[in-house]
Amino acid sequence: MLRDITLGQYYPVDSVIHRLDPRVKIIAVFTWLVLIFFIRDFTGYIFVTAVLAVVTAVSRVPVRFMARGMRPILFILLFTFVINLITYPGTVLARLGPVTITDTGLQQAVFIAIRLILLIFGTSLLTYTTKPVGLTDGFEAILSPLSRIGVPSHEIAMMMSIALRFIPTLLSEADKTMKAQQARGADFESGGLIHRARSMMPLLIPLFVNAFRMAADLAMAMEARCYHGGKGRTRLHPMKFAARDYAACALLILFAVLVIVQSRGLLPIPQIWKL
Amino acid sequence: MNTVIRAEGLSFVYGWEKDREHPVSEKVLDQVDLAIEEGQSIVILGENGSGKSTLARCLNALLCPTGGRVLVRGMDTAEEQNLYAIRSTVGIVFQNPDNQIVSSIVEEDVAFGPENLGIPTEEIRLRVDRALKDVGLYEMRGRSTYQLSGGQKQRIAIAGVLAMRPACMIFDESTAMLDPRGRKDVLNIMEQLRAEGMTTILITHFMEEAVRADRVLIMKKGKIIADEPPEKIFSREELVREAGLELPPAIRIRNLLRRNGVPVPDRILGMEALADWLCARKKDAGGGSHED
Amino acid sequence: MKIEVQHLSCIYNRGTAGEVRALDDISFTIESGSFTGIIGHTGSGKSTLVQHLNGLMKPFSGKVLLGDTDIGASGVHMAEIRRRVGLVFQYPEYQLFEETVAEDIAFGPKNMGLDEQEQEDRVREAMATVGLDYAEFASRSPFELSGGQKRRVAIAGVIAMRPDVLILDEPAAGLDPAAHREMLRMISRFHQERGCTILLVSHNMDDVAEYCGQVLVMDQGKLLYSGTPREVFAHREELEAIGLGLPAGAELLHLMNQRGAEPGGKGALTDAEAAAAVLEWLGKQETC
Repeated sequence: MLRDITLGQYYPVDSVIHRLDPRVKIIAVFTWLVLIFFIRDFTGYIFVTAVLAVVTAVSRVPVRFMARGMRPILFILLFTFVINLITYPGTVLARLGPVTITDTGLQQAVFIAIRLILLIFGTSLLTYTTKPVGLTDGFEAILSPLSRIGVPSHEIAMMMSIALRFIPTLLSEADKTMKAQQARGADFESGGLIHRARSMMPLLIPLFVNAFRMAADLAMAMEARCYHGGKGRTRLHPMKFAARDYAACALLILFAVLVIVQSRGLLPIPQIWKL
Repeated sequence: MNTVIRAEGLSFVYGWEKDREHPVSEKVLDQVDLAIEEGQSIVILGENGSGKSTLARCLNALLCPTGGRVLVRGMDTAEEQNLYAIRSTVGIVFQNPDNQIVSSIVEEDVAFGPENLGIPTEEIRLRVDRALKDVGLYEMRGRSTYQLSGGQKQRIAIAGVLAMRPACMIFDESTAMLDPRGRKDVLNIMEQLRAEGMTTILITHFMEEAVRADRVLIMKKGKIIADEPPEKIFSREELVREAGLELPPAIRIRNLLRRNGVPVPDRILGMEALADWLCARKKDAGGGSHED
Repeated sequence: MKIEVQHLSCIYNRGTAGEVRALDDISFTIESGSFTGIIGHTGSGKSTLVQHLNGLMKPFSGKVLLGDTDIGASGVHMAEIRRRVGLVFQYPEYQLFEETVAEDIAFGPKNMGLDEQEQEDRVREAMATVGLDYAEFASRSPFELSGGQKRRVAIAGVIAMRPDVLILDEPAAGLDPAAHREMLRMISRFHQERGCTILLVSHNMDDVAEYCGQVLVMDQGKLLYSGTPREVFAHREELEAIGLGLPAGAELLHLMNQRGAEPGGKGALTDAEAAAAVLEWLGKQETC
């Protein structure tokens, strides 16, 4: 059930990727997201997939583990694939009653599926190799130039990290409350939509009340430990750019240039199945 | 001796900030006077709602007195500029192990206080390592806080306070939600801190935790109704019952023996001491009968 | 109602690296109308065990028999099992949700499909049992009560289903000494008046010694001991090794034994029994 979700978890092994500065990894992932939508032919996807495979191998996160994380989104993947497959006009390849599959449709569907898979593999590689603390610190640092124009970058990062910290606690709380109400004969499974929504109240109200209690307790505990926002705060693990981070940045730039140049057809290699 | 904390005529009412004429609650603390000396170990007892936790929160400026004042090493808790100096001098560990852990990684959580205080990175590292070794969880520094047991979480919370290098630590029912093993671990750490000269204030419902204290305070309806060493407090059975409390187990048995003519002295408070005393008495009696 | 557990096992995260044997081949019998204590530290399998007894969890292997009903068998009505075996979780006050105390307590009876009159009767009866005055508390919001009162409302919510078996997971945790005493007396009274079978999960060995006729000791998913308090607390070293203590009286006699003294009173558990044993022993010393 909920405990099977591996997507977004940290995978604790030591690798160069794990040791990279979170800021580099976050920027790399954003670059990655943009780049995979630039590519418009099969050659490009082969190239970026190969790069992703190399990075994954270096990160030492098992591919099987990552694939398991894909399971929850398999449905979305299939759904978008089918929708794309049947909604594009073009040369008809197959016909099933009113549904037609066209060559453009097939190509779009395949490309969208590839993009989604690459997108999720890429972003999950970030969370598999970066501790939540690193992620939030990284976001804070990247957002910090915006704090001059009033964006509360520290507060956003702190809220993210507390949310990550409390998700498992709230899940186990929900589990406990559910069982306690079931012990009093509550039925969360049967009935129509409205009945089911109503039957969630015995679960949701205690959950909210407890979440507020937790928040109050935590706020008190943070104050007791002298928390007063980001001002004058130091860090146990300050982020420092090491040689490997500069190298990673250089590789990232090289990668981006290659992808863009290739997608424009400026490289002397054929563009297979161009969109 | 140096006074770490002094409360003078301390009163507290909830909701007073909004409307002075019509506060939300009755007086939770009512004219409390208290002086805590450096290195003392204090236990505060009292039924639920007697004002123990509110008192604790007034002692480290989490709450500001609505009457009277609290001085921590001479600093008034009502003055804004003293806030962080006071909170790092008087640390507090709360009841619920889950709700006081800020970070999802052990060492990051312990570092939270020093980070807020703006301590340089190298110094934070030293303090975090020291604090984790003090609570015996150094090996777990890289672990996720979620997987720890309740007792381990409380030890992390203690380490988090220790890393601020406080002079005094308040344990606000910090043992209440733990199983016997977790409780024992937390109490052992507390004893060890006390031996190193830390001032400790323990709020608890477990009477046996009170017998080793230097002073036991009993609270009722916002007042301190007794403030004496444990041997005096627990010889006043009437007072203890009236405050909604009970006697520690060793003292219950001690009193049963006394009623049957065994003159166990007041200073015998713990089970070990009682066993020692009884066995010594047997030897004396045994020796005596041989001489006859 | 008699409860029989036969070779019950439960495994979490089966087939993964994090596989946990939460329950490992457990068998015991609890007689109808008895008062049984379950001790063991956190993670020993106590909570998993009690959740199997009212069908919140299904046996992975083995059987749970409730009277003559095998609750793992197909066609067994789980709602009925959960009504007959009332389960009060730890810190049950965090599960309150209704607008008034009476409505919250009526949640169980309502789910049973009882009519409004019957629901109200049940609420009145349950509130009387836990010592909450109907006129004073019935229409108040459960969220404005004190911690101890909330806990009693939550317990009343289970009692209102008139269970044949009542399981309480540390009902006195976090209460002050007076409320703690009152809670146990209330449970004991309920046990005697209704003849309800009681299972008490507790960390307080004095309570276990005083109220329980039978004790189950859990450790790492295994049932380590099962017997009368006297039999179970005779295993001092073993209990200490798994982080469990002794009742006060037994502890004193144990400490005296360690110091080479041999007061009699084998099996003494309570304060009074220990005091009697010590007195007898001192008397002997003085006469010889």
